[in-house]
Amino acid sequence: MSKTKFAAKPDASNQASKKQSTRNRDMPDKAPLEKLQKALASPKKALPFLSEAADRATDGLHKPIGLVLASAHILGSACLLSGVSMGGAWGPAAMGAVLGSLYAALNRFGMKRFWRMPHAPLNVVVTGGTKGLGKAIAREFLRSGDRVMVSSRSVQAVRKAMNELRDEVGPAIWIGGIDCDVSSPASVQRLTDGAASQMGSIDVWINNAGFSGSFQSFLDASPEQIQEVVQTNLLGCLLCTRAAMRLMAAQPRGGHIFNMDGAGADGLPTPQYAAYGATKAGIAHLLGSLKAEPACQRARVGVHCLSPGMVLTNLLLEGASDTNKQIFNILCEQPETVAAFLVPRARTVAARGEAGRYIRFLTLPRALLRFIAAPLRANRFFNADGEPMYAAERERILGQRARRTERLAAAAARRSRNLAFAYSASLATAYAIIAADTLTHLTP
Amino acid sequence: MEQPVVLRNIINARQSCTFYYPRRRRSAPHKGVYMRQAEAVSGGIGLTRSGKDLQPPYNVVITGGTKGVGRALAREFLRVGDNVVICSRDRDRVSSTVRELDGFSQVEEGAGKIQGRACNMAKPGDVASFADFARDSLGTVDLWINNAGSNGYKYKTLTESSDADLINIVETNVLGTMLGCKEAIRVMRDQRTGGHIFNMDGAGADGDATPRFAAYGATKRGLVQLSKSLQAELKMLNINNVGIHNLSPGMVTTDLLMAGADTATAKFFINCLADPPEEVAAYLVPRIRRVPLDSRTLGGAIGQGTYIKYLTKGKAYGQILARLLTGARKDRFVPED
Repeated sequence: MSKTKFAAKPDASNQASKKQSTRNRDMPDKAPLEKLQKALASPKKALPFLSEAADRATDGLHKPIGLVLASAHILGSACLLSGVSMGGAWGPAAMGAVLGSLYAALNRFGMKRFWRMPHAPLNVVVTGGTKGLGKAIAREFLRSGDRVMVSSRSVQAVRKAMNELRDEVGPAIWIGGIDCDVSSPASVQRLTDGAASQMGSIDVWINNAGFSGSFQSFLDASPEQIQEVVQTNLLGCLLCTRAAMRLMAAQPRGGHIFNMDGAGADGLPTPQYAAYGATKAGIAHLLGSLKAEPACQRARVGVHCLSPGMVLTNLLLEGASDTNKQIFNILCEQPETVAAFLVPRARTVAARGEAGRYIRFLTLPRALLRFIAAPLRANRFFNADGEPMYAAERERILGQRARRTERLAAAAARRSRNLAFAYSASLATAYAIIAADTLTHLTP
Repeated sequence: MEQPVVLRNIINARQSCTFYYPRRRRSAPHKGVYMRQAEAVSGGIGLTRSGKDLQPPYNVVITGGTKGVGRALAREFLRVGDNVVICSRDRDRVSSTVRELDGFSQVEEGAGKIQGRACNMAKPGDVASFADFARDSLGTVDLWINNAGSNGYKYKTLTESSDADLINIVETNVLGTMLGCKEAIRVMRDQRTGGHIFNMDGAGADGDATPRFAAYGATKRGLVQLSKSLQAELKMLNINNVGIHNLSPGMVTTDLLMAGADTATAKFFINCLADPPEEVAAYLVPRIRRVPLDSRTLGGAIGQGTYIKYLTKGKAYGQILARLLTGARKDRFVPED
């Protein structure tokens, strides 16, 4: 294995600043200020800036408006149909609209307050961070202003990913890359040492490297394929976790390790990818065992699990049949969306110094809801013939689809179970109050 | 469960004749029950590939059969008359174990034969040739027990574990069992009588945390999930002459467990809950041998796994309670104070 190590310094000549993300909001950045100054200096360039601002104001407005209308409709028709409202449906409908707008506003403007931001930029290592979900996670950390070290088995892949990420996020980032085979102890040690020496310390370690061994019967899979699945997923996770724990236990600030779970982590059978499921079940089990380790208790090292659900990456698509693809339409998400959900939560965990968290993107109730709304999701990623309908990664991040990607990502990041629960409870309470009011009027 | 009279008659009829062609069954009112068999028969090569003609004495393969539970299982199977093939990584240990157990089966009346071969279960080539060796020397492989397992014989935190230990644990427990299952299925699916595969579970299999042996627990948790996946796959592929099952030996006083008898809590639980391998084997073997017979009477449900547990939750709590109330089992294996 070659001994290539390279760290990137912020590259001022990079001309990707025009494409600077509109989602730098977490970073105390000066980008808007600079843009404003530029706009004032040359009025011609002000136009795109203004239209961008207008975009941002109206972007995703359909959702809040939808929430207002839907709440009005639900409460109004519920009261009308059950005949509990004396004064027609308009009163309850207005009440629903008020509730809906209240929660829409809370969701849109209040959610950011719930995230605790780390005091200083985090130093993050993402294994398998050169494509798919790992790359999306690295990008999301970079956008939040953190310093990221990506790793992968091939040097070329690392170099390519670093260049792409610099293009996508902007030149003012710190990104490093080291090639590493997670199933080799020596290679993992080299990554740990390299990351620690280049970044100073490691605050967050994401064990993302994984291999599915393609979608096929266990009996047809070659022994070598099974071997690679076991070594990459389970052994790789153990070796990386151990290396990171050793390092973090010696750091005054401690650190946080996030393992990726996957299908099978809940103990349910995973036919057609049996080896993958078994390794992921093991990884999810580690969480409880490691919590009791002295490194986690004394030295403030947190071990956590991230559950990305189904993500539309090569790992999932290898060998998938047409029936699978229809399921993917319903349950899958693009890696950017999932990363936008996971990363702010992981950063909050690191900022608060929590222990043993399990962050899940696709929970069982959510999966069920998606199946109920399945017709709305037809042809989302694949058409009926199983041909892909989605844009390539670069197109989604930098091209015409960028705004849609941003919108989906922002919605995923804002998701809150507590808020959803409070909203449902409020609607139910409103209905109960109206019903009680009607009943007291009926029986004098 | 109460069965309809017709069904019961059919089952009785099936049990009474040795070779049985399901002509009558197709016209039976409870067609659904036999649907899978009927399909297998019509799709097969003219033989019933349902694994129902499996008769004792069985031909048994036990991986890692030179120590601890594996060795005790081998001895018990021999005692009741089955033929056994064992393997282990160490060639010398295999030959000495085979010699010893062979001596035992010479003395014991009606005992079976034993053979052995060195095999590293984590090496694909090794496992394939071991499976072929077992088939060639036994004729058929009826029961295959994936027993080989390791925790490095150390109880340490993950940060203190060595590279070699982690690699050994993951490869022996997970990869070894996977390759064992794969080769066993390959051999069994071509046998007219099919066969049954048993995977050994261990601490952590139920999802409880396993501090001090995190890697071991994670591998065992994975294996339980693997059994379920394989059952589902065999069903999908319509291979209904191979059964996948789990064995839970509980706590056994082998090197694997005794390496951890260095804290007061560990000593308490070892004395309280553990049992010697011979006792565990004497409990497990008759239940393992009943699995082929049971799947014969349960209407062809060979794809459904059984989970044979030595130390059930209730039994464990009972023993802890007895210990706390009467002091039973104190200082049984290791002195406590």
